[in-house]
Amino acid sequence: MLIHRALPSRQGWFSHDGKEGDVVVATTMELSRNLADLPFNGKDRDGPNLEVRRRVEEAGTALSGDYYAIDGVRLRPELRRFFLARGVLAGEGDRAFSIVSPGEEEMIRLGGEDHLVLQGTSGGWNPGAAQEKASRLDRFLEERLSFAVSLRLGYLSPRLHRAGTGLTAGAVLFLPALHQGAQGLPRRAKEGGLQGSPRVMIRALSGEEDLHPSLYRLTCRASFGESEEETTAELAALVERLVYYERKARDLLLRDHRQELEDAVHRALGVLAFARVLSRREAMEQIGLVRLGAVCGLIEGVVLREVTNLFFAACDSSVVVFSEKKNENNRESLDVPRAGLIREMLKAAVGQDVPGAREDESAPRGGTE
Amino acid sequence: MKRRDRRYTLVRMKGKAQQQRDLSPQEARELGVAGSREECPSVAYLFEGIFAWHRCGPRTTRACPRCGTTLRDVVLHHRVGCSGCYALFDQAIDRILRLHREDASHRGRLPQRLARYRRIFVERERVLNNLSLAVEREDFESAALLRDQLQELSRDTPSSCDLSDPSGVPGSSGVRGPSDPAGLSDITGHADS
Repeated sequence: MLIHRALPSRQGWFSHDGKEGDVVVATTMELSRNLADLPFNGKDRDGPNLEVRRRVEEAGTALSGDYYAIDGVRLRPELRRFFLARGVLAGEGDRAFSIVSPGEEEMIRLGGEDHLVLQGTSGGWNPGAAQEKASRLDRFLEERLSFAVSLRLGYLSPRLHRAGTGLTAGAVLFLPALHQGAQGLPRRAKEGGLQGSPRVMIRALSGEEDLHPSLYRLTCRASFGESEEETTAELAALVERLVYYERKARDLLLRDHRQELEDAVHRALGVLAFARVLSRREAMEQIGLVRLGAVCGLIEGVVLREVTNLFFAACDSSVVVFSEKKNENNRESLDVPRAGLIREMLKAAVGQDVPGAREDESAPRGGTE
Repeated sequence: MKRRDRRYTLVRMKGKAQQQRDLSPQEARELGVAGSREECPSVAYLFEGIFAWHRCGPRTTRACPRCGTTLRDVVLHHRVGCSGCYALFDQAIDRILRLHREDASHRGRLPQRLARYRRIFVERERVLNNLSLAVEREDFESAALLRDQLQELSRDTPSSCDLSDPSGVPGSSGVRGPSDPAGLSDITGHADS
């Protein structure tokens, strides 16, 4: 069933636990598909896109279970920014339209280069589960929509070299130790945005604004003539190496600078638990330290997925939505509700009230549309 | 062409043979030899243009009736405007894809209703080619194995009525017969809402 309502939630596709969860936040598998009898998306082809949306929406009504239809046109600007920052919506204007499962593990996104992108997400490193979710959507839609496909070239795309499986395998990684040290990760990735070949890319995870600099998105695009298994295997080899080196770097950090790290982690926990004014930059830094402390075993009883949620909650767009503060132009005005929101969410992360972190009247409420 | 209008000279050399062509700025832009910003055409763009000229030749004006994409767009930008372009510019697309991967064919999954047709039209063709090569080489052991494979694939061949409508749904454009094993123009569609 398709529910036409966009309910912003503090949880999302990043809130699921899984294997190698200390390093890999989530695994994503995206399948790009185009409809056979409509022109592909171009810079000035808005007409057919509305038709794509109509057809996908109609097909989506037959989905079993509850799915939410998020329409970029009808959303308030702050809500649109919120969903764009999380990667739930793609593109601008009437192109942005998504059908999302409640946990954001399954998504049908419209508005990008291809007519639609089917995304399956799983917590931690689990490409099989993510692929299965994307394939389930694919099988469902192929019975109701006519995809542009050729026996010899596979699924067709506006870009010739993207013809084939249309798969983009990806993983969101938390690499604080590698980011800090000279362990080989390209530091410039966060500045330039891209590193590596156009096929395999590592870049800072960002929505409308940068999140924590240690959060990276590693993607591997299938090229023509490559099967799904080959693409996934290539990504797996890279992820395996990054996980190994990140853990090694953390061990080195703990061995050589344990006291300093422990101090920084607990200070960060204190700041998040007690601060009344928090800028986005400062909040991100402290949340990163708390997550690092949690995965290194320096803080006991911390729910890792709740700490990951904090990264996304600390964004300006989230603070605006959850605090129902409309004037986003003044960034300083968001620092107070941001601190309140983090204090509130931190309680869930540490599983108990942080002593002294009493809520005041400025604490934000949960947002609705 | 007046001398002052002649800004570009394209020389193609193959062994001792040499082919020369003078281009006006307008022609150079159309063929992709010159960039849109005339003062700084990039080297990469220049080479792309040369290949485009080589490939497109007199057919440069050919355009997709549905989306207006020209062969030049396909060759220069490696982009198409609709699924019909894949059928219309099949040769150029095939060449472009083969530049990067010699065995240019899809090896991933396909919609369920098309999967068995790939087995018949693509894999059967591949086995047939290998069989004829094996016979030429007088490698009869491999030829026997390939013949068995071929028989197995032939057993799966659907009846002729299936070929006209693979999905059994009205509106399907169908899969091409054995005469087009490449299946380049089998842009399928069904159940349009």
